[in-house]
Amino acid sequence: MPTIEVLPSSSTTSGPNWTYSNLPPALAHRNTLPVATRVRATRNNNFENSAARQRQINTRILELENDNYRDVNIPIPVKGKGGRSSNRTKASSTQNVRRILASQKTFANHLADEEALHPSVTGSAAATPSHPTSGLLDAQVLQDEEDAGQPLGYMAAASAPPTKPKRVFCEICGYWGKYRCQRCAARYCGLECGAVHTDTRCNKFYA
Amino acid sequence: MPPKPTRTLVVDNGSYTIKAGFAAENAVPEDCLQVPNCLARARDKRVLVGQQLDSCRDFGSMSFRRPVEKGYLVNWEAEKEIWDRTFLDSDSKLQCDPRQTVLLLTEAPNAPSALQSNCDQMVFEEYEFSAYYRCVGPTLIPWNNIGALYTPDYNPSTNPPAEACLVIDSGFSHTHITPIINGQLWNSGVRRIDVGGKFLTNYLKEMVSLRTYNMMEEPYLVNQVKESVCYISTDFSGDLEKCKALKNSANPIVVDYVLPDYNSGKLGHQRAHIPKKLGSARDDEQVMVLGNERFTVPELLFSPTDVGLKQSGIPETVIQSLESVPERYRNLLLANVVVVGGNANIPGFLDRLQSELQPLAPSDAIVRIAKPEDPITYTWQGGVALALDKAEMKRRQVTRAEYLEYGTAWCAKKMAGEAVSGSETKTTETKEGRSHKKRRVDDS
Ligand SMILES: [Zn+2]
Ligand SMILES: [Zn+2]
Repeated sequence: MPTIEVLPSSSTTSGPNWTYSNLPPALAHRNTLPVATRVRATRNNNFENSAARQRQINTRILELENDNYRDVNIPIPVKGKGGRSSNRTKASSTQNVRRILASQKTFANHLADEEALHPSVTGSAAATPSHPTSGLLDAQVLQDEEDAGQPLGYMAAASAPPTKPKRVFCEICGYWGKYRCQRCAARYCGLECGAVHTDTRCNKFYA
Repeated sequence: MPPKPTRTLVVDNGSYTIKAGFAAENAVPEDCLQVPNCLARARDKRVLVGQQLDSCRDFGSMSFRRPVEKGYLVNWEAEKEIWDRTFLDSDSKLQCDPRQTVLLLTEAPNAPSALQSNCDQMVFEEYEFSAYYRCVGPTLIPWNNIGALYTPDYNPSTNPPAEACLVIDSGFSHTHITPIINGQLWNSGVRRIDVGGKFLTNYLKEMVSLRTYNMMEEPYLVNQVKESVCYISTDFSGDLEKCKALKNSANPIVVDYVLPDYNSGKLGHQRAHIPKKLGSARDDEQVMVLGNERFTVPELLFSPTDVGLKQSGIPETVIQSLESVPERYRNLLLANVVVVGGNANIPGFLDRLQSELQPLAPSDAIVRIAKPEDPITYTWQGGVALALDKAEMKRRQVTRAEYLEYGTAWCAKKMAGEAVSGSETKTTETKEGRSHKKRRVDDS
């Protein structure tokens, strides 16, 4: 098994205030399903295709896009005593600038605004208007089928799902995940990894 | 009258780094300053801004705040702090007086319009740049001599841009496929895969945390491990079987990454795997052993569904993109594929793309894929080339006076290449349509 190291029971120390830990991630339990869902999952052979499973996958994908493991708030550092900051501070800023600097909107907020303003055909990039209907374009251009067009918008530009079947991997060692845990739907490759899963990871963290 | 603008500042404002420098003849990649586009907080609670990160030696448990989210400039409170230090501070290499500087700034495709107008307002109302051109980053690529990427002694008889070019820009936040025809972004063919460098790093972080050390709070270190050991396999199943069948000591894929020691200042590094029982590993070092993680992580660029993301990999997405482009351009685009962004540096990327794209392409198509010498600054280099074409820049840019007279909507239209009325330059722009054909007729 290439990737499983026999880990010491506690972490080794490499310095007075710094060490790499072998302990499992402190927040690994975050992906645990509510108990009720788990029980249902046990009985549900179609769990892999269920809405609960899809929610789990979506949560994990969002986590893979995070900058930090935990939520952090990093404020702008307070300006130093030197003259450095003074030449950056303008005497007056416009209303627009004050509004923009005070905005705490996230990309998701802006995306929601944009969708409300110009609804796009979600997930279907092919269904785009072939011609903008601007009065400024003359008839010849309107007949031109080779118009670069208007931007599709964020949602419509997403790559479409593939035709190839999804591959599944053993969550323990990364090899093909031939088997599925009956209790939590995690994948594993064989007896050895199945046992590791049951002993250490079942219902804790999987995808 | 304000003094005449003298210099053009080219800024490729990425989510991981800002690539910035002044346009000059014979600019080389080294003229481009790469500034971390983030605020970072170290374990000792110090907050480092942009370039300050370069002098940091302890990245343990470091957390980050990035003004560019998912590739789009969202948080100006943080970006202003970084821009101020980079472009205004007297001890910065790029210190300038914006009122005497033209700004050429990149954005990701399909940016929400509110973010675009925020950006335009900050540029003109806060910084007061004398003129400004905001454009989609990959559209700058054809301004480079891309012919030379395929034929080293290629010397174009005409000026750039190249007629057609398919840019695959795989950066920190995402991967974009952007067809560019006659210098114009072919909007209906733009596609995005939500896999970028950050996604790969987090995936590796999750994997090693489950299998070896808990690295969940060490994104910086895991990113270094990724850049050091990961490769894209041209035989995924074969490599996966190899890792299953062979012992670590007999498996050429398995490597050690010696973790950095932030206390003593020792850097992390990759080395050939040394089995533990041989006792040759030193007591004072901690080693992360990596096997199939090396190639299953960047595999997500080619198979996002491996992690449940319902999108196609790069080769299939290229085909989706081409299906939205007039047929007669498709082969031309396939013969001029350029791969840029940090992920282009992952070993094996080009070989894998070539081997998967050729069978998907029309049978008569020749697939030519090139990676520039420095795929990270290549967009910036294209920006420099455009900036040096003074006439073309004049046609595209918006001056501060125009902004003050006509407002944000007008400026956004002009920079998008759309018809605008009442331009200072009194050209025939009212007649100019969106069509590149029409535009080229007007230009000639
Ligand atoms: Zn396994
Ligand atoms: Zn289980």
